[in-house]
Amino acid sequence: MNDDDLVDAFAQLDEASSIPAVDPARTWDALTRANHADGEMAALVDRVARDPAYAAEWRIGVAFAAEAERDASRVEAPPSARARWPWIAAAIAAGLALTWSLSRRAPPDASAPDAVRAAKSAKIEATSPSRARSNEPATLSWTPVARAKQYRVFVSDNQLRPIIDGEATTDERFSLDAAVLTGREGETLLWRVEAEFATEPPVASPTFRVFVSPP
Amino acid sequence: MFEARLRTATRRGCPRWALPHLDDILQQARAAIHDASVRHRRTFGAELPPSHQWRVAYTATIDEIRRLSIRRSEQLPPEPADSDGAESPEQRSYASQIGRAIRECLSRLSVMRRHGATLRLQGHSIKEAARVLGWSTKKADNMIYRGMDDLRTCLERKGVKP
Repeated sequence: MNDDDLVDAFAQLDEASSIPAVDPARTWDALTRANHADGEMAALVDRVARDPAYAAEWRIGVAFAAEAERDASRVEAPPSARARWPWIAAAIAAGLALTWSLSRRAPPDASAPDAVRAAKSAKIEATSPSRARSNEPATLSWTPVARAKQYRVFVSDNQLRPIIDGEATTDERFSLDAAVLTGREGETLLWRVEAEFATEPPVASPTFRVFVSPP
Repeated sequence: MFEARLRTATRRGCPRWALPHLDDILQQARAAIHDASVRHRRTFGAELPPSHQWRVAYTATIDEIRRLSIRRSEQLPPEPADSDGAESPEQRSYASQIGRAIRECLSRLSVMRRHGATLRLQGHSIKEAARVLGWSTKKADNMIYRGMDDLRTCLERKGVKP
């Protein structure tokens, strides 16, 4: 009996599950995230061993996660030196053009260039923990952005359904009520903020995650 | 391009009984991606990242397979689409017996060997198994080897030969 025969035989086991199903989002997180709660992976792998229906769901997850990882690495892969140099040249040209353009234009307000610079260089990072308990309020917080008048907060569930849809705050933090988190154990919520300025266009943060753990 | 990859990935992991419903499953995944894209644009003002598309597609695919599975279990005799014609009922029954024997033997292995063997049976490489379980590659290699060895011994005792 070689391994491939056993792999084939295991995959052919075809029985409906009689135990409660696992949330697909939990399986996806297990297959795509690096850090897991203690015992989480062991519990899921044990489930694979005893539940053929879940073993099939796991196999599909593995196939999909491999494709997602391929996409992610494509986005993050640095371009080769040959592919990079025209972009560098274009960036230098754009920089020179911007410098020339700004030098010809007298600023209407002495603070405006500062605001432009602040807005352009703003990089918002999360400072709150990436885990929250389902029975307690949680605070989302982020690094301040110079000259921001206020922030808008967006939170969605793992199916991207909005939970908080652009609520405004002047602080660099936002409180999520426990009621929002109740019943979401095992879910990962997505959140981001937009810094709004008096005259400049808003600056958006990357999308952050917060995992809701059981009480 | 995405469409072809979605079809290939779904086909690769899909249970055999659900393959005749592949188009229905893909349709549900497409619809879910579309809805999520619209929601994402409205909420975040940007396109849905490709990695999120796969997450949404996965959830929709699993939901649809579960729905089909419930429908299938309610139908007696099984619908004709269940038969892909590749195997006789006897062959299918024998394959199912082997699968059950594997599952029983897995339950008797020590925890770490069971985890290693289970991931091997699911087609994971040593490196992948190490990542999933948070083990070193050496430990994963060891547990998979020993787990598969114990599994074979258990199956032989049962007189099972795939």
